[in-house]
Amino acid sequence: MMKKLILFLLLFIMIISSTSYAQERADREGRQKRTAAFSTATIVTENRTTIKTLADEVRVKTNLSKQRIKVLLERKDELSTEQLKILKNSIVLIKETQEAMKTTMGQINAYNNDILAARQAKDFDTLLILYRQIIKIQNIRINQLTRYNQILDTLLNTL
Amino acid sequence: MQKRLIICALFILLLAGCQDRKVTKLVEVDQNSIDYKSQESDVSESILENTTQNINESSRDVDGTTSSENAKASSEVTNGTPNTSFDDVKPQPDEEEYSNSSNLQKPIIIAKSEDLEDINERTLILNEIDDLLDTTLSSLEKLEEDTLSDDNIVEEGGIE
Repeated sequence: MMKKLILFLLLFIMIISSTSYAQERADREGRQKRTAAFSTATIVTENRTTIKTLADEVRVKTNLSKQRIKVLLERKDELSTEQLKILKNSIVLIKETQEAMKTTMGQINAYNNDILAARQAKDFDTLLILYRQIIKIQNIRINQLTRYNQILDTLLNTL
Repeated sequence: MQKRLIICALFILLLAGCQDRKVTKLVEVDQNSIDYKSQESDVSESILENTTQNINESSRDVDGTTSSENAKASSEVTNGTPNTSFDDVKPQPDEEEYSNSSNLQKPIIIAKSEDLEDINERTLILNEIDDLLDTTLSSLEKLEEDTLSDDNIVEEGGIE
């Protein structure tokens, strides 16, 4: 009788401990996923700020270039063959970059509904996947805008 | 005898009238070509062929004049002095000017002046860049609009 009671208690302790262990493990994984989602969201925010800064730089340089072009057209100043060559090359590069930028246009907005759904369902796995996809697009844009700024620097130096 | 003389005189007058008619037609062609609108008259076509220096023996106009005759006739028009003789006409400077003006009618043949070409190229390039920069500005607006909303960027404590 005593032996049966001991066995029963041991089984009970084992079941309880395994259940609590599983629960603790699930909680830990949940916290890890949540933390990963938060940290990924932080990267998305940082990238958003970087894109805004780069876009502002492009805007300023673009407006400056337009002003210089206007002056050149009004004055009818001479341009050297080398300048014309650089300008022609700039046209090609600007067109290429614009076409490249078009390829990702509207893709981030398309994720808004999916993220909202994942957020409401507290589905951190999906949230993490979606954020990572957005970061990929953001990185492409950061590269494109950085390149665009370089092209505009060359253009401004030539004009 | 007197009747024959009258007939001969009438015949000569008739010939002279025909020749005048030819010149009148060519004057019309010239005005059209200057206005860049002459594309209907066969006479003007033959003149254009002459001015582009592609002498083709098969290109005869309705009056039966050859391309060399037309060239001569066009020189008459530009000089303003009708010439009844249609033989051995040498090209004159005025005629070359006329050739250039009629060449402008065809976009393929472009006046080749290095200065002019540079100016055109420069203006075209600058205008094209200006247009591209306008496109850039509108693209930037679209790019900035295409971003994740603030609500969808989860923060610590935002989701329990």
